[in-house]
Amino acid sequence: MKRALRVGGFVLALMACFAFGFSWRDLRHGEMPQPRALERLLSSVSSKPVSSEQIFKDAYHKIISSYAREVKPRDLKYAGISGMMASLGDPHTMFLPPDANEQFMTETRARFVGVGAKLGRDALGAKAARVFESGPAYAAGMRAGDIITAVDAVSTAGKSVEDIVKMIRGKEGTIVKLTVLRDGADKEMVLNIKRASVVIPTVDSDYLEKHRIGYMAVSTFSEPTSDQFDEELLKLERKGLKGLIIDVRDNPGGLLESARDLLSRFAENKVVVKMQFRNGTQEVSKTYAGFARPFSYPVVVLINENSASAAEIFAGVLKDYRLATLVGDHTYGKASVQNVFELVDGSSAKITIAKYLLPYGGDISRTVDEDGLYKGGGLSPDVEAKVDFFTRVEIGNPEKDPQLQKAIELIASKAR
Amino acid sequence: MSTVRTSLVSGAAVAAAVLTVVAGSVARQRVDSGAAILPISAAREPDLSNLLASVSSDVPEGDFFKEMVRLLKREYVEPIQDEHALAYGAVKGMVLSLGDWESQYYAKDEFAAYQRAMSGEYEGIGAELVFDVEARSRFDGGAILQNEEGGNPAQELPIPRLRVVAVTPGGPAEKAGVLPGDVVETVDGRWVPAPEPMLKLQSLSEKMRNIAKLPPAEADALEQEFRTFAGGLKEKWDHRMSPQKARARLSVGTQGAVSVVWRRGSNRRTTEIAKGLSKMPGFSANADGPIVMAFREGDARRLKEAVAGKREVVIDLRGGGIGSFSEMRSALAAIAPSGTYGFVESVRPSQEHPLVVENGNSDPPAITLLVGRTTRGPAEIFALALAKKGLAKTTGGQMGGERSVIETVALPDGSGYTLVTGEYKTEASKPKTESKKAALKKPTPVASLPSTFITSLGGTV
Repeated sequence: MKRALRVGGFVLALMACFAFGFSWRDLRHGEMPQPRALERLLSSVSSKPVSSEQIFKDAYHKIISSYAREVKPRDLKYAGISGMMASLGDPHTMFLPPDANEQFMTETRARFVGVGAKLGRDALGAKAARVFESGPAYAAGMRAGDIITAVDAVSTAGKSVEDIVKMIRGKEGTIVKLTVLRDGADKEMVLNIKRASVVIPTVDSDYLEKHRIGYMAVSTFSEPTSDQFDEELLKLERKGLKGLIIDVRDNPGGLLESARDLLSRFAENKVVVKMQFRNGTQEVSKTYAGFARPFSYPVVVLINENSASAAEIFAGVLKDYRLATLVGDHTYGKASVQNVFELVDGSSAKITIAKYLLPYGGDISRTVDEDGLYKGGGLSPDVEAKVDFFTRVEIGNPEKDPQLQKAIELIASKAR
Repeated sequence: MSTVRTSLVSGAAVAAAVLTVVAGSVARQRVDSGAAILPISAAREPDLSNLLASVSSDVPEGDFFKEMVRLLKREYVEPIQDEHALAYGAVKGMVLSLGDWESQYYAKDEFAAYQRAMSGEYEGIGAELVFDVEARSRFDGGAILQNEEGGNPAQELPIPRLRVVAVTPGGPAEKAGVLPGDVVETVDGRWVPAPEPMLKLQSLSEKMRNIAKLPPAEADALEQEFRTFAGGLKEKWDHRMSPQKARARLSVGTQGAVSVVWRRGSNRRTTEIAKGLSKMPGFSANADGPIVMAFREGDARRLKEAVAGKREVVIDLRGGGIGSFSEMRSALAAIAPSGTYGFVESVRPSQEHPLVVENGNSDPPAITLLVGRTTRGPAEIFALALAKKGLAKTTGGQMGGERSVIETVALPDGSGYTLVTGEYKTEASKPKTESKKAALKKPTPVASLPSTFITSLGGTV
């Protein structure tokens, strides 16, 4: 009896201890223990805890079964996964459904099967924003500015660009008929185009005769970029260079490997970036040996707020080693590296796997305020040259491109 | 011997006591953070290679989610602290993807405020705000906004107007002179996107494209107009506040103040409003005067009592609070005879569901309904249902035009979402093929900001 009492008393004491521990955070602030917390405890112990997967599945099924309008289950599923990635708050970690993934892969590889054009929106269908000179559309007579009004005699009016792209895509070697309207023409043209493998040029060059300066616009850091750079540089150097301007404005980045490759032309065995992974491991990426060549003239790199990722690495490394002068506006501030994990259904997950620092430790991470608006970060130019947003800039035309003008002046003053 | 034993037992007892205190504290911490108290038993732990090697290319949603969580835990640069947050992010992404401003995901504090509002108590400035959308599809020529709230950033939504449908009597908004119909233009100095400026930008952009064809004087004037307007708009755009955030700022919390610029027609008013707690009147029935009807829990029963024995009743439906569809249905039964009162249309399954009232009032009084712009949702459906059957006269003019049946779903962490589960129609709709044809309207230019504002994925062919 006494024993039972003692055991009972001890159990009661333990319960009191538990209650004490449970209510400590309230008692510490001089408040009464919150009954709601106890409620939640009891309900969560008595019912099965809901797994994160269950929360997702329940909502998914609820929407599929109850939403009033048409829902495509696959799109809903993808939207859920996208939302899941977005909740991490990292704008560069994202889920790419099959269509978006294909687009992404095309940009990365800079190669695809098609007619060789980049389309934008238009009321009548789609407008060719760019027609790649190496592609079959160009050969068939299509030019930038042309509006596609029908594909294989089916009207494109009112359709989305994504839908029109689907209509035009097809197997290599097959033929597609594009009905095209050109500004100033009174009749539409019908072009028969054979789909082929097209390499997207990511480097465009121009020789600025007046100052004997080479101008190279690098639009992305894709797989063939450094080879394309070499080709274009050869063309320019044949004409005799007093300076070189490399334009990475509006270059959203791309492959780290591509930036590393390109930097290897400027320096050998030097640090490109120092990467920090989650588990604390660090990895240093260096330029290759054997590709460096002399640049016997001043080099200027043009940057702006849309220069990001690999473009920032390229510019930042050249700046650190004083191999080029940066002119323009601060860059975006993407100091992270992503890996793309391809999934079996054609979608992929682009996930930030590491942060990086520039050779001399610079962390260019972008900071934003609580509403996502830019606060700081990015590379700062050596020579600032901002451009009024609505000044109509013609990129690459010294007369109408203030930042380019500044770069030219800088080289001219150095070459004296 | 026994002293050793005693001290061992005492030691164990003290240890047990300390551990139990710690256990209590840990349990409390987990309760407060919403995590599971007991470890979730891992069923099978699927290997990532399943997802990569699977023969079927359509992966079930639950597996997909699980795999993604595993992938993130393995690869993401920061440790994944809270797996549940990922699930709620997924729910938010799904609701957003519906592209429907009436189906909304609400985070904890906003959902709590929403539920409070359903019972008639309004936090914030004391106003019932809705997202008004004219066009449902961008091909209707409506202005679009890209999704910034989470989920697929390339997703486009028609830009809504954040409009007041009702204010709490004596509440902070009413005191500041806010009226139903007022549209929110800026909150705390930040612009809330609205369709009109975007459409104007679109038309100016169109003109600019053909600027070369204009005589020099006109071209200069156009360029000047474009630069001034677009420059101003860009400035506003860079500091914008999403419509969802704006709504939350005005509807959540009882502390602090918020400055709002309202638009009424072409006039603008600036107000500084202190947030608080105010009430939207609910049901009331006085001896003289109309019955004021809301559609909150219990109101159907109150209505039944109020009409008992009366030969004619006047019901005021201009209350302007949120009500529930199910309560409205009970209210119909309280006052009207059994029968079919129109249809609730939904695509799943693609049929109409007749709105059937059972156990109705076989001896209904003559009903006059007072309606207006603030009559919306369940109140509007109630009025339409009774008027259609000739059971009621409506006076007061046009109603709100919101006839969606909306369900509210609460989630385990206190957040939740609303989901449109049907549209009320007094008549059965015509066969589906006709409505499909109607969807393909004449194409009009799509109004959106030029690509310098938004990055689009583009189309490479």
